[in-house]
Amino acid sequence: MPFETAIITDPLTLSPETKVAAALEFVKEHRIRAAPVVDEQGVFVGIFSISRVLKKLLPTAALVDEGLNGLAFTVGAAPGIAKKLDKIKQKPVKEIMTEDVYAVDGETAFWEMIRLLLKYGSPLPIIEKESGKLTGIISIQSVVHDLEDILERMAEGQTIIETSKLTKK
Amino acid sequence: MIPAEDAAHHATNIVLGLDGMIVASSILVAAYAFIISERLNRAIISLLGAGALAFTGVLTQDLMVEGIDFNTIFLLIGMMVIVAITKRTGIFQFVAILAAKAVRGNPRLLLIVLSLITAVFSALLDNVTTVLLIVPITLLLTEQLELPTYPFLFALIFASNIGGTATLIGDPPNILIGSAVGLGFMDFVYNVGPAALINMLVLLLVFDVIWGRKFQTSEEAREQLVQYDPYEALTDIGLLYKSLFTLFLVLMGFIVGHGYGLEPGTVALTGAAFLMLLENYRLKPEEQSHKVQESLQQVEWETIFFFIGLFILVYGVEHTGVLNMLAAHMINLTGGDVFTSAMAILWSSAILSAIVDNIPFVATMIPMIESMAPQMGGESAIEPLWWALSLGACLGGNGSLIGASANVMVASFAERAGHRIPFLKFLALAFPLMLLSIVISTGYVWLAFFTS
Repeated sequence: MPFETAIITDPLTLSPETKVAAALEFVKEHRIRAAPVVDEQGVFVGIFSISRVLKKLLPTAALVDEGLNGLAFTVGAAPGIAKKLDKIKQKPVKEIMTEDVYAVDGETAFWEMIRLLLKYGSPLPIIEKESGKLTGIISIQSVVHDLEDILERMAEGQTIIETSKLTKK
Repeated sequence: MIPAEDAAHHATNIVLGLDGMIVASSILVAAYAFIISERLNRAIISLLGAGALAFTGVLTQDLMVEGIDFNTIFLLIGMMVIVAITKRTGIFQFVAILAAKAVRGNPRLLLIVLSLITAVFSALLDNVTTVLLIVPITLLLTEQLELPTYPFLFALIFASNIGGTATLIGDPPNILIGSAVGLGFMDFVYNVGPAALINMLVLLLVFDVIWGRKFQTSEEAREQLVQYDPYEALTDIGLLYKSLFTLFLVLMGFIVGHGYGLEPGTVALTGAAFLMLLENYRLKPEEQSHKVQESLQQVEWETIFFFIGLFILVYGVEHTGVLNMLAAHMINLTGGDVFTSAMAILWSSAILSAIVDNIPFVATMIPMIESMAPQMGGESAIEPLWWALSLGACLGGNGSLIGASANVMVASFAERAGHRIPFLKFLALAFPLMLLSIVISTGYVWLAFFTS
């Protein structure tokens, strides 16, 4: 069963030039944790997320492979994290966003989809291969909602054939 | 080393109508050319070269096994396992933070203490592991103190290679030399240790003049650093005691065992097994398998197989008599004079080691120097040549960013952390400083071994 019905085809997006401060306001206002970033032509360029902003607050030595595997010893020192956040807020979204993102398409198997969401994080962008344009996103919430939707329809007596593609919302 | 005449199995000396000498040296030269080009992984090249020696009939499998110096292999594996377990305890971060607090975050002194810590750890452990553990904490400290990272990374590379020079187990060239010639742990400490110490002190002075005295940081940042609690970096106190106890026993084994004919390879590998015993004896069998597997996986197998292939490659040319021929040439060139030979070895090994991997060079030089011994007054007369080779090959590694594995490791980590070390910028200062250390070593070799 592909996951087509779980796709959100009109996701909220951000522009790469938007300041991080505004982007943080945007995700707070819409109660989301991340949003895809697209350029003027609608081409996908990255994902902006709160967790990415949080990550940028850590010292580089703790982020790199084979780097520090604990920072417990910095206890007692207040390393000016708030000031660091203030600096990050002045930067454009394109400097903070995750560019290295796993993209999927509507033909991906449902189980594989769940596995990818857990492995690479939510949401995952759905990108048109030739143009690179963002056609939708899929998130942990949209997957669960879609499955609940199916259950509801089964309860109403509809026959759901698991192998068939379901119509897009 | 067993002379070719005594070898259990003789391979043919004529291969496809060609002299075995020509075949063996062609394979060796081709392998070295590939290693220098750095297009292919060195372990693949050395193993393929070793295989080629067998397929062309230069060596039989028995001769190949005979060519492998298992003392070196065991020593490398044993120390790698011990370090893999020890590093999980957080001891390296602990020491670095403790030192940073002890100098109260004074940047000028921090450069000196971090270099000294790196040198001491590198003398007792593998250089690559040492820098991999010291560089991350160094980056954190420099970030905290808002200091430039480049001088620190530069100093750590030099400290690691100089520290490694001081002992039998500090650097692969020394392991190779000690193992082949039968020199002990304390032989290295007495004979090259002082040279390493002098070099370290002179270079620390140079680093202080170039960078240290100009460092500036804020009182506020230093106050923050002083708040750090090094004990929080220790993740497993019980394992720490076990690791330190084992390391102590292994060092004692190196020092005392030498007099009783106990090879360092045996000591290190037994030490590794002993530490795994201390770590595991109370666990369930399946947990033991898991832990032991994890520790053994940390062995750098790429390095180990590179050494195995290399030993066979060198044994090919040694067995067919190429090295004897080259040694005779070298004696002609130096007139059989030990001092001239020592100087030739010191300078050529230093400059070559800065440009290419020093391990193949040292592996080839060892049997060649050995075969020069009879014409130069026997084994004890040529001992200074080993110290010259050790100093040249180890210190030469400082000459460029690719001169030693530790340099490559620091550079790759720094790049990932966003502090790229430019190749030419490094070369412009490192090569002259490397030459300075060889000038110092020249004086040392002359004073220590040729004046009485």
